[in-house]
Amino acid sequence: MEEVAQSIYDVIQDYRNQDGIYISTSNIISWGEQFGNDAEFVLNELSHLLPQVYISRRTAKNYIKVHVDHYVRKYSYSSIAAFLSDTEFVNMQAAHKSQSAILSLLEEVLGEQYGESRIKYLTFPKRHFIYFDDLLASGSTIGNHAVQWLQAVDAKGRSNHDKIMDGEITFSISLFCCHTWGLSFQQYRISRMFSSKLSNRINWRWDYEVQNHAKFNNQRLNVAKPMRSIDPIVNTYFGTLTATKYEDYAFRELNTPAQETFFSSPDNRIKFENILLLKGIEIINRIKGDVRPNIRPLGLINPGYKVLGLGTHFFTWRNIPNNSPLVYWWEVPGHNWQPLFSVANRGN
Amino acid sequence: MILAQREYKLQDVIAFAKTDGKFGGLSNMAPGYNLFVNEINIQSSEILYQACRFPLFPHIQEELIRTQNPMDSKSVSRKYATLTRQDWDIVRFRIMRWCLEVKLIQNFPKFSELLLSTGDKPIVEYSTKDSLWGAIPQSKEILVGVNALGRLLMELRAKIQTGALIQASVIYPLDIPAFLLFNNKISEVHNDDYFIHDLDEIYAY
Repeated sequence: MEEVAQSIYDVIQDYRNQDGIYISTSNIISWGEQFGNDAEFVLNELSHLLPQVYISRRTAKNYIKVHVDHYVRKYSYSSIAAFLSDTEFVNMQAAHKSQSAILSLLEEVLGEQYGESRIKYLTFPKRHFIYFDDLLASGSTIGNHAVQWLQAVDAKGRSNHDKIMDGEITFSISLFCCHTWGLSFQQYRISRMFSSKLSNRINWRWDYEVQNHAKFNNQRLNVAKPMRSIDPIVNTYFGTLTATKYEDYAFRELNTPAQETFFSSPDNRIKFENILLLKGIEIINRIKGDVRPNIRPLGLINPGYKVLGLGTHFFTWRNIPNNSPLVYWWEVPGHNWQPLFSVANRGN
Repeated sequence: MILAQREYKLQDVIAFAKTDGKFGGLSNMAPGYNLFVNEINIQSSEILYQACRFPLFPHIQEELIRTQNPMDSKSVSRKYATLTRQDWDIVRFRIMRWCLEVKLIQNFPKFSELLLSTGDKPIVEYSTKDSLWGAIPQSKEILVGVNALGRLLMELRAKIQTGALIQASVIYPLDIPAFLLFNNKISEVHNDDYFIHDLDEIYAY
């Protein structure tokens, strides 16, 4: 167990170091032991998954550089200075959210790679607007912000939406990770609130794709999404959900994904998903009083959705998304559960 | 549907040929009437219709939907014509009716207003070569054709006029074999508000 814990540690060792948190191999083993006889299996499978989905601070900086280089090329700038003077990196999220952290990292990247700074150019008139964030899962935050930004008007009463349609400005959304199901909803929202033409003019770009749109073609399903179970615990839990929408997304269909490219094998996927689900239900059962309707064993989700959670497996150096299975981040005094990734304040 | 040809006097009808102009929105190709079926964004009712032609070939459906352009989707469709569902000639008018109902429900204010603005006049798709879906000019004043699209649009207009279809209506999937999108049964279709109104509730607790 020490060996696999070490391999996990090697990947996630910079998790929340900026907050004074330092994960150790003993933390990892203690977390794994909460799964009893499945401890070693869970750690082994996780050690297979994490290198695909953990974004260290260093990886994030690499991603940011790739995004910046992409935009410089896309908009045909011959120098980074000219690009920065025309570009605003939208800063709409609260200070403790991921956007601020990414913009700080962007400043570091610009300094280290180009000897430049975005702050230097803040007062220049802008043509390109880029909204950076780490993750689109349900897409609520990003979709909501995109709508707000598109509706915003200048002193002359002209909206960003109008300016995009008139070809005066551009709007891009740059992400480390995007879930295809959530993206579909947010693109629909934007197309309905404005127009499909406007929606098509937004540049979406991401590094890692979570293909979790169970009704689209040939998805990787690189999430935890168990198949329908005969386990009475699962069925009782699912039956008590009062949500009514999208029940047909709750369970993974037989023979999906067509080819296993995420978990270490199809059998290990089934076993791992079921362990996470059952343990998540166990955690929920420890909640005293009313359970908030957005809490599900495989992560938070819209209260009206009758699903088990998004099952997100994507983690960054600065925080864990609450759309991830509860086993990774649940930390409530008295619940006798130690998370692998302690949660930073989300301000929710 | 009876496939009898009809004769229309151009001056007595609402005719549309392109996607622009006052009645361009009646065209299946018209932009600005995007759809959300099985939580998948589909650019127009024409692309949805073409996708329904190949239910057993998800990769063709994906190619069609990714075109985001109805003319391109028709080209893709022609390329795979031999893989068309075998009962296509039997079911295609029902499928088109369903596609139009989806278009209406998910674009209700705009599309219902457009349909009602045609009054009680015949609606005709003016075509130079397709006398099945539209009608072809026989002279400067006369159009002749089955005008299937126009007739389905008139049927839809009547459903709005009688209240048989309202903004809150749910469009149920057709009871035909293999009514599939990407190997999944096509679900009930709701209006746009159904999908959008609760998107931000995830963090409301």
